Amino acid sequence: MRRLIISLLSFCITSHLFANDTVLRIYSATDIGAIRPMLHEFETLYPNTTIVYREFNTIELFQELLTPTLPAPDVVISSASDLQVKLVNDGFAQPVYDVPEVTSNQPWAQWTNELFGFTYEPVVFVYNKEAFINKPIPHTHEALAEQLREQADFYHNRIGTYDAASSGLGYLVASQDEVAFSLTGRLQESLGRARADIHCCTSLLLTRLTTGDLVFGYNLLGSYAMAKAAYNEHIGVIIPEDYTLAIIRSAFVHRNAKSPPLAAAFITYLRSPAGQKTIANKTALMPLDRRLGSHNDTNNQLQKSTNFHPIRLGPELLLYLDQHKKMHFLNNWSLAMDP
Amino acid sequence: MRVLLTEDNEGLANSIVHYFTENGHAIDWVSSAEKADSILAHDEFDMLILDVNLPGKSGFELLSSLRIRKNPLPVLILTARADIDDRVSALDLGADDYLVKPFDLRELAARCRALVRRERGKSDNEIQCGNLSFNSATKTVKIGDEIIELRPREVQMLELFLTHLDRMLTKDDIANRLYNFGEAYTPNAVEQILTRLRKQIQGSTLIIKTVRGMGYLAHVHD
Amino acid sequence: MFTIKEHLKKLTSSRMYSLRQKMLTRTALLMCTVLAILSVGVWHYANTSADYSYDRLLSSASVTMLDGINVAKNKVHIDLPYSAFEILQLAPEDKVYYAIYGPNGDFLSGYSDLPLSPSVTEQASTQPRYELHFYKQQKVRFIVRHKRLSERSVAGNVSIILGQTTIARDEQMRDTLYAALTTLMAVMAIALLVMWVAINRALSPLSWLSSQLVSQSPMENGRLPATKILEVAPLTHAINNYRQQWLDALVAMRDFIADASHQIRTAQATTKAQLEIALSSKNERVDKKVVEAIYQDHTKLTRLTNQLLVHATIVHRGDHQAFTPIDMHHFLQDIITYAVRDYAHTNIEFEYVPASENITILGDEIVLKEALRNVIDNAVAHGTSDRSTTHGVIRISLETYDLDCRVCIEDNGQGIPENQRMHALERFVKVGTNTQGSGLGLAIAQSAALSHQGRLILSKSELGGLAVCFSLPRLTETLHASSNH
Repeated sequence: MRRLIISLLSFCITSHLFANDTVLRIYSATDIGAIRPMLHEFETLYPNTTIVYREFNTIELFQELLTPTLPAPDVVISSASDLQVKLVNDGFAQPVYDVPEVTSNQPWAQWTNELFGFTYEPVVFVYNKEAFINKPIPHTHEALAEQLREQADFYHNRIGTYDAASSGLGYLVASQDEVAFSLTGRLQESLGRARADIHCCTSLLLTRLTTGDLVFGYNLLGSYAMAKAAYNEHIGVIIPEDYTLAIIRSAFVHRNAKSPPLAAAFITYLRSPAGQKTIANKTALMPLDRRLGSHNDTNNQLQKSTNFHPIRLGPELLLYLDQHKKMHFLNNWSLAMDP
Repeated sequence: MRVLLTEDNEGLANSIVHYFTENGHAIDWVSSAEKADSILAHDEFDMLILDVNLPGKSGFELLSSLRIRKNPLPVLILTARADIDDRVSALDLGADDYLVKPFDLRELAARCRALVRRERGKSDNEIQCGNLSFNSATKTVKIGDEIIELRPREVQMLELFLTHLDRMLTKDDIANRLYNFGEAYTPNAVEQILTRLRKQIQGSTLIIKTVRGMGYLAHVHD
Repeated sequence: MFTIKEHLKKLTSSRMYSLRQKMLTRTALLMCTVLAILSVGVWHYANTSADYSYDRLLSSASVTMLDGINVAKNKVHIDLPYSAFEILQLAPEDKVYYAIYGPNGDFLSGYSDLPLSPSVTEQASTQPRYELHFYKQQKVRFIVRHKRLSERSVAGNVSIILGQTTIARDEQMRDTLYAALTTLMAVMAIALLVMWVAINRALSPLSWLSSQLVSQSPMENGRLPATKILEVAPLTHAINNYRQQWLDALVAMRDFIADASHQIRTAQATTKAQLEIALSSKNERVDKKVVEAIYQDHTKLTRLTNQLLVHATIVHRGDHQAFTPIDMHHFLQDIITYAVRDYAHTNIEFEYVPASENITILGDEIVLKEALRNVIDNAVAHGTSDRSTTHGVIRISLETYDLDCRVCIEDNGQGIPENQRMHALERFVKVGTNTQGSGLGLAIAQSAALSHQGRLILSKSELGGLAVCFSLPRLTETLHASSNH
């Protein structure tokens, strides 16, 4: 297995660096830029704490935990909820008690008392505004499939999506799409025929959308897209109206955590009103507490009564990690994408 | 006859002492069982009249300690207790006779004489019953000073009665004593001997009663 | 050691205790035992039902998963359906582990390190097997299920082992258990409460009775008020009866004391008057005749006192009878011997008519002796009083009479006329020419006979005088034997 460290960032937020300081080691598949305000705030809440933050991509993080090369972390954060579930299922987490509910009616944002969600990330469509002047913008999956069929030339080579094969998140989104939407197969075929541009990362797709190389981005992470769209007038974000998958970024306390109470405190903070407010107001991420909205959500699309379909943190996510299932799915996907 | 009286009631004791002295008997009086015990230890008495209810040690206790020491002294118990069981326990404890208060002094004296007589008969040759005396060695019988001539069988019968005073003897008891194993006798023979004996000792204080269906009982009435 | 003994003694001693408390404690103990037994049952039931519910989840999930295993391109093709995991979602907190094994027992997918593996010999047709194991530091319940693949290329059993942690199952078990236990305890508590009320209700007549009794003097002839409670009625009845008997006895005793006082005082008055006359006589020397008269009267007084005491004792002894078997033949011989001795100086002749067989009765020897002696004394005194010409004859006979034995004392005196006989049995009643007696002899005999469940019969004797017969129940052989043991 290829182990590519995209960005290994040993980041220390320090104002008090004392030898007897408690160290909180966080291994995370989250942009350091996106999470920094929370680390800062936690550090002010717990002044004697040194946070060691290490960033991975989702699969690398998963691999690191399976075959450790580094000291065991205290907290593990990732948006690849299937991998998180798998890790918890396989006993890498330890239970944390008395973690507050962010809001009621979000049972899908927590699994047992080990895995806790704290952000809510819709999977969205992104389009190049210039390209869609005087053109109807598809607001549903079905509309997109139709347009792909009817305006094959317009979309040819100009639609991009996540690479399910190489990106953990891409695979999660693609597979959950299949679970949630019965026409996913057809849509995939259409994408394939349109020679969809497949990328590993949201950021790359967003750049190409901004430049106009791509006119439409399918299944992109809403948080990054909205953050970019907030100050970039070339692109717009569509929250699909028929259904919108939402990925829950989650955290757990590692079973070999050096200081479990501090790790638990960090997770509690993430889900506390203060933490949620910080997520909403200062980061690109979107809080689990949907009443808070996000400063990036300029059109208030998150507040609409769209059919959000949060990907539940639960053992059913293990299904697509089954090697046969995965092989099967990726075979089909590749066939569809590369006809 | 030398008697020891153990009685705590002075009035009664004085009367008894008076009566016995009048009739020519030596009588000593103590008022408690303890005193009686100490006197009996070094003086010889023919019999003891013992009241049950005594201050301190009771009459029963004195009696049983006497009998435990194998002292054969004849004892007559005086009791006034309401519980009739007293009389039974007195006999069980080894008293020879009892009288319930109030009693006739004459009766008391007669009982005492009978007891002494019975005791003496066991050891002495001379048996004295009122005005009748019998020498078991010489087989002579006297009423007062007058010698009575008796046939051998009559003597045997008299001796049997004298040694079994106040006790019921059946005809068989008497016949077995009078006749040897091989001797044949008619049932009437005993009656005949008895009739003759009664005639001979008429005027004496010895009474021989016939109880039909049971037998014969001799009693000294003096 | 000593203290332990003392403690034991305390425990076993007849301390006072509260019936209410005892019943309640015992009931509570019993209920606790029942509760404990039921709890075990409930625990078992809760376990079974929880197993049953969650085993069904496992079972249907495993069946669904097996549906996704087929043969494609001559290979085992695994495409697990999403629905299998949706079924397992019903236990949302629980972790899921599975493993799929191919026809030759080769591992195909899932977790390869599960604590159990499918046995090759197992048949697809057999029921799935459930097992509980510790896996990754937690309790996991596994199901093993097989599916027969019978393609030409791939033939044999594929097996699926599906496991789920038992959080939901344990919770359901606990819920069931707690609900059932709570109900049980509530029922027990209610039962105890009902018990308490019932005991109080049941005991309330007791306090009612005692309050009734406390407020009444035992001397009063008041009866307890009638009760409507069937169970209490016999008790009040018994108490009333008992009280009546006690009052009757009291009346009898009062009568007796009155009679006795009268008799004794009269006799005393007589003696006293005579003594006074003697003392006030101007004659210096005491007239022996006067003294003789005083002596005679005093003798009568003595006899009266004796007999009163004997009578009282006999009546009293009836309360605590110490009956022993008495051989009547020997018994009568003794009595006659004493009687003959005591009356040897008179010209009375005694006669004994023994029975043809041995007779034993159950009785109080002392009481009977006193009674018989009194009757004999009576016979001596009255039977011969004015027959100076002929010998007085007293015949004592013993005979059987059905189940009773009869002891008769007959004399050849004047006897008592038939119409006065019943009267003669009463206390202080002197019949006919009797002036000497106390009037107690026959009453004593009567009391003795009655206290032996017998009776006293007066009749005319063959000898011409009175026949006094004690009819006493005989002790039969079997009775005798049983009383000996």
